[in-house]
Amino acid sequence: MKEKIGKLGYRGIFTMIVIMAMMLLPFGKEYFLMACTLVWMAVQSITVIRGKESVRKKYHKLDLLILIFLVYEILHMICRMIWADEGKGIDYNRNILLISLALLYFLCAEAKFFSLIYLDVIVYAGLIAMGVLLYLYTCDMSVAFLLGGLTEDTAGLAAFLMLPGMVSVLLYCRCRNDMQKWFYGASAGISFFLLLINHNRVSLWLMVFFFMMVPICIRPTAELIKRDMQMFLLYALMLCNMSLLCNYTNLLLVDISYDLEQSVYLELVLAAGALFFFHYWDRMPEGFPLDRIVLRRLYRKYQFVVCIMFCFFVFMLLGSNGWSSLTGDKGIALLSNFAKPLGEEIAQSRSFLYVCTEEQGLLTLAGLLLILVSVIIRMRKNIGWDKPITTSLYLIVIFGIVQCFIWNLCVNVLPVYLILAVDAMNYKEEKVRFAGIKVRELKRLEDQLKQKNEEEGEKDEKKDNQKEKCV
Amino acid sequence: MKKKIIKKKSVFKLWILMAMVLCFLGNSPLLLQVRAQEQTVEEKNQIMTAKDSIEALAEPVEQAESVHTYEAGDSVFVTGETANGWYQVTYQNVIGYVPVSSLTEMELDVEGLDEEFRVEEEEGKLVVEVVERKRAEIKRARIWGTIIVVLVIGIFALGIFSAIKANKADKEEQDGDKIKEPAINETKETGKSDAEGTREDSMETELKTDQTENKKSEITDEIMDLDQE
Repeated sequence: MKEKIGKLGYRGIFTMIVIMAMMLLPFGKEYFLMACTLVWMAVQSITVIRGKESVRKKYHKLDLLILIFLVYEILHMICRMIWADEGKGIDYNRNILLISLALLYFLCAEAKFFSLIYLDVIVYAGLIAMGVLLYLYTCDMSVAFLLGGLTEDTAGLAAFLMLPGMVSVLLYCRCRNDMQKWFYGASAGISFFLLLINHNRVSLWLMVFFFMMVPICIRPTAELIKRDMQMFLLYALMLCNMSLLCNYTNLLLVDISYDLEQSVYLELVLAAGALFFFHYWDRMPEGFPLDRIVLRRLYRKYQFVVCIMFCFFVFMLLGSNGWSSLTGDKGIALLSNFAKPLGEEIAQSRSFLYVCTEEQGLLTLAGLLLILVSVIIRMRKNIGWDKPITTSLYLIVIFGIVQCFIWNLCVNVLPVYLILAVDAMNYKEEKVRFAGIKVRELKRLEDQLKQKNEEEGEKDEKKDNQKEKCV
Repeated sequence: MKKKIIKKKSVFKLWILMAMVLCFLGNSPLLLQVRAQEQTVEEKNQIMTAKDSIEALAEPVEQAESVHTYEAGDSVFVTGETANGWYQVTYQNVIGYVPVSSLTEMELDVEGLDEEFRVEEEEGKLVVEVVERKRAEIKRARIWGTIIVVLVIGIFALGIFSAIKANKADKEEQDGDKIKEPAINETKETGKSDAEGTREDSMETELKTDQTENKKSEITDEIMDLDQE
C-alpha cells in the first residue's frame, strides 16, 4: 500500500494539498478550499473531455442527496446575497464551506482510490501544527497567530488534535518496522500531551472510547491489542501525571488545573485494570506469532467495557444539572466533581449541527442529518474484519461524526474527515482472509500429529527390524 | 624727673596705640572668621523643618553671604549647633549656618519610616526577582524551544526514514513473492462458526494459509482435512 506519490495522480496530489492546507493554513481556509476544489474540478473536466478518463456510471442515493444539498446551498447563498440588508455585514464562510465540501465529495468519489500516504500526510501536517502548539504552550505565547485563532476555541483545538492522535494510534497498531513504531508513537504521544494541556474533558473521554473501540472494530489480534494497550497506557500515564506537571512545575505557560485526588483514584482504577489484563495475557499460548492469535474472549470484554463506559457517560450527562446539589460522602463528592464540569462543558458547547441550523435554517439541518446517516450506512457496507484499512478509516470518521454532534467542528478537520469518509465508502480493499482454529484444538492436533509421527516411526522401525530378521 | 615723666607718657601712648591696633584687629572680618572657626560646633545630625523662608549663611554671623535658601516647611539636615545660637546645616555637601530660632524639630514617624524602608527594600527585591525570573524564563524558553524544534525535526526525519525503510522492505517482499510460488489464498473462513461455538474458549488462533512456511502449512493442512471431515 505504499504507493509512490507519482502513482497517485493529480487526484492524490490535490487530496494531499487539501489536507495539508486545511491543517496548516492560518487563515482563509474556506476560500482556499473553494479555489482548490474549483481547480481540481477544472482539471478533472479537461481530462474527461480529452477522453483520458471516464465519469463513473453508477451513482448512489447519497450522491443525489448531496447534489440536492449542493444546489440548495448555492441557492441559499445567492438569496442571501440578493436580499441581504446592505448595512448588515453577512458572513458567507459557512455557505462557502458547505458548497466546497459537497464539491469535494464528488471529486473524491470519482477517484475510488485510497493510499496510506493520506494518513501519513495527516500525521506530518499535524506534527508541524503540534510543534507550533508545543512551542506556544511551553515557550512563547506570541506565536498563536501561526495557528489562526485555533487556540481561542478549546473545542476546535480538541477536534484538531484528536485527528492526528487517532490516525497515529491506528498507524502505530499496523506498522511493521520499529522506526515507524517510534515515529507514530511519538506523534501520538505529542497529540495526547497537547490534548491534556487543552483540558477539554469531552475530548479526553472520546480518546478513551477510541482506545476501547479499536479492538472491537479491527480484528482483535494479540498484536493489535498489545499495541493499542501500549498507546492507551501512554495516554493514561500522561493523564495521571498532569496534576503533578501543573501543580509542581512551571513548565507550562497556560493556566490549567488537574485534581491530584482524582488522578490518584484514576491510577488505582488503572492498576486494577492492568492486573486483570496481565492475568489474561499470561494465558496466551506460547510459540505462536501474536498477529495470528485472535482474542475473541477479550474482544467480548472490550464490548462490555465500552457499553459500561457509554452508560456511565450518558448517566453523568443526564444528571448534569443535579450534580452540583448532590452532597454526601467522599465518593459521591468525587463523582459530583468529576461529572459536573463534564456536563457543563457539553451544555456550553455549540455543536456543528447547531451552528449550521442557527445560520442556515432547519432545511440545512435536515439535509446534514440525512447525509450523515447515509454516510454511516454506506460505510458500514464496506467494512469488516478482513478489511483493516477501510475499518480504520470508518472508525476515524465515526469519531468525527460524533464530534459533529458535540462541538462546532473547525474547518481545519472537516474536509479531512470528508475525504476519509469518501475513501471508507468507496475503497475496494483487498480482503485478507484467514483460516481460524481454536488454540485448544490446535494443541490437540499437534499432539495427534506427534502421535502419528511416533506411530509411523515405530512401524518403520518394526518393519526394519523384521526385514533385518528375515535377512 | 621730666625725663621720667616723658618716658612714662610715651609708654602709655604706646600702650594706647597697641590697644587701638588690637581693637582694630579684633573687629576685622579676618579675626571674626578665625574666631568663628575656633568656635566649637556641637555635632547633631538631625533633620529639622524650616519655619519660614530662610537663608543658610556661609558663616554663623548675620553679615555672611548666603549659600542656599530654604522655603518654609523644607526639611533641613542639621549637622551641628554652635554655642552662639546657630545651627550648622548641610545642603549638597555645602555647609551653611541658620539661626536656631528659624528651625523646628521635625516630628519623625520612626515606625512609618521603617515600614517605608522595608517596603522599598521588598520592592527592590521584587524587582530583582522579577528581572531574574524573566531572565530565567527567557533562558528556559530558549532551551525548550531548541528541544521542541530538535524533537519535531527528529520525529520528522524518523518518519521519513522509516517510510523509506518500509518501502524497501515491501519491495523486497514483493520481489520474494514473485520468485516463490504464489501462496494459497482461498481458505475456509470459520469466524462465524467459531464465534458461535466457542464461548467457553479463552482464545483462538488464526493461521494464514501460506505454503512458504512449511511447518504452519502442515498444521493448516491437517486443520483443513479435519474441517472437511
